[in-house]
Amino acid sequence: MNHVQRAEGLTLTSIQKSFGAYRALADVNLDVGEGQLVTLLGPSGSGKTTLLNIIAGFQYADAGIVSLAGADISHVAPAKRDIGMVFQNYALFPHMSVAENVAFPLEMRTIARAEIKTRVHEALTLVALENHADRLPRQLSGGQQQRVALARAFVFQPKLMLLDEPLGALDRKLREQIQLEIRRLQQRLGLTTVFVTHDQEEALILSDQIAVMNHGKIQQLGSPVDIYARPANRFVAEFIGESSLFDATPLAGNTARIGEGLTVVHGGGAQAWNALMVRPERVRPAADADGLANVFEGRVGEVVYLGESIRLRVDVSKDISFLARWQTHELPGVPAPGETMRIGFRSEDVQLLGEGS
Amino acid sequence: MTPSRTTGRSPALNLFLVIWCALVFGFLMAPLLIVFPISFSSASYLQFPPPGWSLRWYQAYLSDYAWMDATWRSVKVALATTVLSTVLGTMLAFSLVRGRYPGRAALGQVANTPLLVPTIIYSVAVYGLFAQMRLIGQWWGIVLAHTVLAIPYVTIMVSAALKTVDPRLEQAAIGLGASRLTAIRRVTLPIIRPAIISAMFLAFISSFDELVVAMFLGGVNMTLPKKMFDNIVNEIDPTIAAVSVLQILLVCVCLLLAKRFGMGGQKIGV
Repeated sequence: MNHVQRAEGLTLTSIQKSFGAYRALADVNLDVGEGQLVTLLGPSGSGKTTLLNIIAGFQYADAGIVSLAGADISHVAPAKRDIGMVFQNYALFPHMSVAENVAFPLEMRTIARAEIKTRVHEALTLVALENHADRLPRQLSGGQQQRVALARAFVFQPKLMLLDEPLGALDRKLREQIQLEIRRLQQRLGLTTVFVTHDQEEALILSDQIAVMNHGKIQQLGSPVDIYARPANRFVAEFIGESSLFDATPLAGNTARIGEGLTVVHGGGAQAWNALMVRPERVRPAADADGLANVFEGRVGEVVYLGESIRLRVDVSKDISFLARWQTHELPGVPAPGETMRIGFRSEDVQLLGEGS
Repeated sequence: MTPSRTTGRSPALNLFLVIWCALVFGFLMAPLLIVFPISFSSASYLQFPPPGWSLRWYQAYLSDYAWMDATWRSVKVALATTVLSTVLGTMLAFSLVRGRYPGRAALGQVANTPLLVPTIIYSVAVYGLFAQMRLIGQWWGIVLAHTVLAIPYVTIMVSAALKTVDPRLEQAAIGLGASRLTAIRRVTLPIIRPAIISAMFLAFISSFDELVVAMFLGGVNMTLPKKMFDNIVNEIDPTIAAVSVLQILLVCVCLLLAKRFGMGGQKIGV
């Protein structure tokens, strides 16, 4: 390799993997800095699980280099990689107590019994399960099992922690709580972490960096803010968050045609683009719209009242509608469907998008 | 699962079925039960009901060199068969359930053929082979033949249990630093242990009361079932009843232990 490798963290260089004629991963490059949490986010079949398996060593790449903490581990057996993994269904050993589960990776590293005991206790204390050490996994709730799996994955101070959709089986409220818990723990222990999920909200909450994957490629790598506010292409824009997204034809001066007699003024900047999008919270209502670069008059369609906010669709023509999201206090009342309403947004709120790769 | 089939059946039909089953069961079991009183008989011939009670036939059995010799040989053969068939059958089950290679299904069929081929055919075939190899009369020759017969039981039971174990548990263990063997020893085997224990008892019983193979391969060195057979043919006396009772009790103990420590006692899976 011609560039200097980072001493710590995980580096993936030109990873490729095919299953027969199916190309699961096409030239994936990714850098996870020490102590960072990077999320692999994508729909099923995007290659994120294959990539995770290649990092863990359960599958080998056809080509490319996996290096961890400065060492090339592309051909190292999974048991020797020093990676703590949390599985989708936790994969706790059903015949072992919580403490025995957490002690397992330490025993595999022939650590003295007394030290194992201390470290298991410490790990269980970190996940607030020190009083459940002697229970069997099946005697615990889903959230508790999740935390045991987590403790088992970090107790041996691995060079990397891998989490494979670890919250899929939990209900929404518990999920949010454990997301924050994982993030706190990961930052406190300074664990380099790769987190696989298909849940964009989860990715936004947890990550230092998000790698949005589709068709075996990383479509965009960036901070949650980058990914949400400046999506690199149409796929990322559609996958993350809500948006009003239109096919667009470039016109002279920073304008684009999005439908019959409808033009949008944009901020320019992008090279090859054929679509544009506006996030719902950027669309301003009524009087706020006055003086903005883009002002449309439309008919209110569907209205969803969410308590602190209102989400609605405004149809400005037969096939062009904008999604808008407003704080309840910004409006005098809840607009009724069928009402006529003016909306507007700034030229810099328009994101120009090309096709994804 | 469909709900219990007893629901919706008329009480009269239910009663009829209960009586019918009791009759069939009694018909089949009564001869077996008669063995118990006869074994405590004081008469020197098989007679029911016994004219008086004694333990003389138990004493005759325990003090007879030929009976004891046959018994210990049977125990030895059955124990060796248990160990061999459990080890080989479990390994085969792992290969059949976890392996990914062409011919896997065919191998599974081959492993089960001992269940399909009549024992007498199998015995004649093995006799021909073992005679050439001068294995007739060797106790471990019987062990080899019994092992082949017992392997399907082990493989079927262990495979069934293994299928319920998530392969990701092994993967998790390996990811946490275990070698593949350690992962199997520390994670998979303990989880399927009840099935293995049940299989061991089944293998033991299948060898301990096997007659046909032992008849062909035993030569002058008889196993217990062969000795019992000869006793019935040649000099029938209530010793056979005493031996039968002891054998029935041993099998019952095996089954109870299998139930306690095997699959009956503990649920497998997560």
